[in-house]
Amino acid sequence: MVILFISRIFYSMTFIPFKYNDVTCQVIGFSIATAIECLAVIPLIILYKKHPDKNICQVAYEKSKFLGILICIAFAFAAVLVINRLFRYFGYFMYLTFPDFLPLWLVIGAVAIVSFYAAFQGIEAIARSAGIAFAFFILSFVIVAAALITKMSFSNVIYTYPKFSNIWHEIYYELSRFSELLLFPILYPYVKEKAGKSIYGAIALKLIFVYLIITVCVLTLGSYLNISKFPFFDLGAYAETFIIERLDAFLLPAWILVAFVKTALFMFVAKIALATGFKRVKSNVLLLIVSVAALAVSLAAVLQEKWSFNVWDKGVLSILIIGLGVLLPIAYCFGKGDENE
Amino acid sequence: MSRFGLKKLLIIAVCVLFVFSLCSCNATGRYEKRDLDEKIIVHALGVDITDDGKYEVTLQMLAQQGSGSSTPIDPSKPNSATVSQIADTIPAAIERCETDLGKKAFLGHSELILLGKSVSDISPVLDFAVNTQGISLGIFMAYTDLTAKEILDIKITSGTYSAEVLKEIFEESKKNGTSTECELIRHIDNIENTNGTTVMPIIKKIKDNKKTSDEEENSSSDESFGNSKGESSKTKAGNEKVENKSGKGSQSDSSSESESSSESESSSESESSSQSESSSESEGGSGGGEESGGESSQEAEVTAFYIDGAVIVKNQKPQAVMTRDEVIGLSFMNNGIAEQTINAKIGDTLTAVSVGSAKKDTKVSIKDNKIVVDINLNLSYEFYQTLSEKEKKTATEKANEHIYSLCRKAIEKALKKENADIFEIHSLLNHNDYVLYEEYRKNQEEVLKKVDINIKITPQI
Repeated sequence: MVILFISRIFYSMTFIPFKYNDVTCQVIGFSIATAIECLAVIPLIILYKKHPDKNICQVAYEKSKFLGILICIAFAFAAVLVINRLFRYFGYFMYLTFPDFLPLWLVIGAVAIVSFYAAFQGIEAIARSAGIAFAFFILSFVIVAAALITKMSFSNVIYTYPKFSNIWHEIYYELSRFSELLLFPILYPYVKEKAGKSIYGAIALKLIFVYLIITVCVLTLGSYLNISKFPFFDLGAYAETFIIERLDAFLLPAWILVAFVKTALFMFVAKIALATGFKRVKSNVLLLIVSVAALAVSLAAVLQEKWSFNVWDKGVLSILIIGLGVLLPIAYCFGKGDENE
Repeated sequence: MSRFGLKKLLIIAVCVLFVFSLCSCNATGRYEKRDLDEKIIVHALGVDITDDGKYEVTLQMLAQQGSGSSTPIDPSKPNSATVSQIADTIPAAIERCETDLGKKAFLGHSELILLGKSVSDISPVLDFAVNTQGISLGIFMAYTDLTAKEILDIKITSGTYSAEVLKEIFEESKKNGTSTECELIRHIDNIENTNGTTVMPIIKKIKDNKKTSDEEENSSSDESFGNSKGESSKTKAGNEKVENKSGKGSQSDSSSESESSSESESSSESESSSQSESSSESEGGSGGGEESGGESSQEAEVTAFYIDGAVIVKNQKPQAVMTRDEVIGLSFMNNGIAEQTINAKIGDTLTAVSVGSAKKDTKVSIKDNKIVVDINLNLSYEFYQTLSEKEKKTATEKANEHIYSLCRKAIEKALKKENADIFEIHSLLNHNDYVLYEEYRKNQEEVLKKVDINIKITPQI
């Protein structure tokens, strides 16, 4: 639950894209998207009940070797795209907020190395790191929110009449970021608690925190949100106590930790997927290949300063998320399950 | 612990820390490592427009020789220094300042952006502030009735620096309502919602009586903000009228009209006056580069700063000046006032009444094609003298009348005369009547002409 939450919250910390200057549409769109997500995970939960000890790649491989290998490659490819997107956002953030501190290739390279090591260690290491990141995130958010209480005002809230096009755009945008649909089909054999509890718990946590972040942002920053690139980080920059003048330094470590956990998770997912399809190759070799590939494409984008939401994110990744995270579980949740079902 | 040991966890933690430690790595070129003493920590940034339309940027920074960095503190030296440069844009002027000093400017600790009287369009300054890395959203932004350079050049030796004093003055003034909201983020919020309308406090410097009386004779219109031509005279002082030598009791012209006049005995001003006494002899410029300090025209006469009035900015251009009384009225209606002392006359004696905002209720309705905003102010009253119930009632009535008149003045000036939305009307309409709000978005000027604000004061003794 914490792993899935940490993975998702990275986007909310990086961008709450108030790009349509329309918080009302954002809230409505986000709520509808979350309801769709709740429905979209049902096939996964059924699949988990049918094959509790096998991830979706293993199920596919057993049914058809060729198709199984294709699906494994698709998962690894999707993981590379997710990591690429994460590194671009990460690079953009560093580029804007700390432009003269460190070369971007060094920052991204360092995070990639650390994440590789965590993925190399396995899911337990990532899970424990996610626990630390979760605690750090909660702590820093609570401190910043508490420091901002005196600066919050309801007069900063400007309602807008929701437009269908904006709501639709927000739904699409939110669903395309729900890359956790790719995590669960691979990770559920590692889950100790009930699958439904984990996945709905993560969605509920996400819902609560995104609403909280939006509320604090709107009450504090007002219409500055229309021009803010990193509203969550701006909260820290605006918060002050009688001892410390600005608290953005509190948010930065949490943000880096979250980025690290998410990168490690997707590296691990790619490793598990490929190891299922290519049994003769050592899994850590596959991990290295995926990590190097992800780092190379990310660096190519970052060094050319191509940060924006591109066609790979909009089209290919969205298709992969729906295909691998929803349609594939639907296809496999019919039919006979394992003996220990 | 399980198979996965603490050791591995520690290794991961060390690796994460490694990312942070890389931040201090030494490199060359753009990412060259700079020690703290190779940076200038900018406390305040002043912007003026020269006669030929260029930007003159003044950076006020810490001067280490007066700050006690190498003990012992030398109080005879000022602890702030300024550097100014002129260029076509603000970033270019800052870059020239950096070149002059041979150090990189760090703006993350800036507390004030001061706009000189000549700044006729605030949009380039706002753009710069929003898009510059590190500038805090809580930075104060204000106008001065002189040049920003003159204000920032004032040297103070009493353990603090002028930008810090100004920040304290702002905070105190906000509490007693003599200053409007002045944080950058609030200006941006107002401007985004009202097509470029906001209100900025005016900082003035306190001078001696002789100087002021000279100025009083020469003072002309107070609505000359944004005019960069022909303002070479540094003594032109806007609507500054009455000042005494101790720095207390600086009043705008309008406050003396009222029977129960509001004295400006705020703690901020008395604080600033005490600062000024200790700093009056210190005018030696210090620091590096082309630093300007201690110009002969502002020797000894300069004592400290105070806030007097505000500039109404419309379409991101300064449009009119509000007096101190109008600003107090505005503060009562907008954000409330923590404590404002009003002198009410009971018979022949003056009684000090402390007024604070307890609660505000606002209603919006439409009557006869007019948008009526009813503001009910719940104000709490405290008395500094022992009074009978009848006297308390009389004093409260007088104070109410006075506050009502202050609010009316603010409404007349800002809404009726200037047609400017500095009363958060956009927000009220948005929260109460969305159709009207849409109309406001389309035609702000016309909608504002239809707005009437009614004030009702409910005292709590």
